Amino acid sequence: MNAPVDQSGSHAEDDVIAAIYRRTADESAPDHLNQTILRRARKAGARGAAKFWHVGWLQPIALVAVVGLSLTLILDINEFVDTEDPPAAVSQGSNSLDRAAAAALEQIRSAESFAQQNPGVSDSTVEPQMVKPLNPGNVTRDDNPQCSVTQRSTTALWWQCIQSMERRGDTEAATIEYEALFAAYPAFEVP
Amino acid sequence: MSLLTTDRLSVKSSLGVREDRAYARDMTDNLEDSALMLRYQDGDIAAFEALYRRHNDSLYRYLLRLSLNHATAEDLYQEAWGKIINARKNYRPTARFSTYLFRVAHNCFIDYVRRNKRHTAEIDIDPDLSPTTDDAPDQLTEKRLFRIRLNRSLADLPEEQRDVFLLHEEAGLSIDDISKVTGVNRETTKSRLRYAMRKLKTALTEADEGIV
Repeated sequence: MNAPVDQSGSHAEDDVIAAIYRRTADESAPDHLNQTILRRARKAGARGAAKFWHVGWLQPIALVAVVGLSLTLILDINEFVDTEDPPAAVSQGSNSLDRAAAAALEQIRSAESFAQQNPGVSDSTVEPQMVKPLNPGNVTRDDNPQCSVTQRSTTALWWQCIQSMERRGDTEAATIEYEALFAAYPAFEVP
Repeated sequence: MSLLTTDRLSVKSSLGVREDRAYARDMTDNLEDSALMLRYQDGDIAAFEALYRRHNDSLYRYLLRLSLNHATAEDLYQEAWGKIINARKNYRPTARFSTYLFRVAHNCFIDYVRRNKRHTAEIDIDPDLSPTTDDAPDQLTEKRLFRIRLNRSLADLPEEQRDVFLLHEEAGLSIDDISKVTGVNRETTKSRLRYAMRKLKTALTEADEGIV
């Protein structure tokens, strides 16, 4: 029974102390402090609002700018790709030329190796004569394969061309070329 | 006709604005502290003004009697409110606003004491500082004497007990809230408050039996 009485007694004493304190300590914050704090709060609030307004304008503008730049870039790339096509054709042409040159070079090399293997056959031993065209006007290159002018320039190349025709099975063409070879180089000896 | 109509309209519109402002002020006054702070977070300055009016005097008295120095109290007061303003975007209503406000002020004071090793509990408070009531001259004199005694009694308390007493009386915080603010457990807070009350009672009643 004593404890509640003591507690209520101490509560009553606390209330008295609190009442004395509140009656005595009743100062208010100085006006200059109030003005300083409120000015600071207004400034911070206005700055925040200005930031919000600024960002509110910036975001759509930035979005439009990004979309516009992207479209411009895409259109530029498309135009560039369109103008790229002719050079591609040119490069294809140059590739075919390269291929023809490489083939000619290969033929020359093979002729040289043939000449080394067959020392008896040389241009110095034969006299070049005018080569008559084979069936001019009637025979086309596609219909009836024949040796080219380059191949006919030396006996070794010409002979190699004839042999390759024979290997391919173009015996008729090979015979024609053989006759033409002997007609052009009568002193030619078959290796 | 037009002039008269314009005058009537202007009077009516100005009255309307005044009524609107008064209504808005009533609205903000009725809002809870946390709601006001959230409004200020969204840029409502009037909400902060209402919030400030509720807590400015109690926070000032808390810092004044905790530091027992007029100039220090003003510096800490500005620092505490400055922190509240700057951290408005991060404010979350997880606890009562007063608990949050006084915790910020308490931490400002702790930092101040750490920075100033020579800080002592020497009283430098003007007893006539900013009286709020229109008391009669004899009452003012009596109050002035009591203020001096109260300040002395508070200065005699250990800093921790003074802090707990002021948080209880000025902020109106419960034992649990004071524990959160000071970072000590509930029982320690309770005993500090009990000791502070007992010592103050002894000091004040011995000084003048008549006022109790």
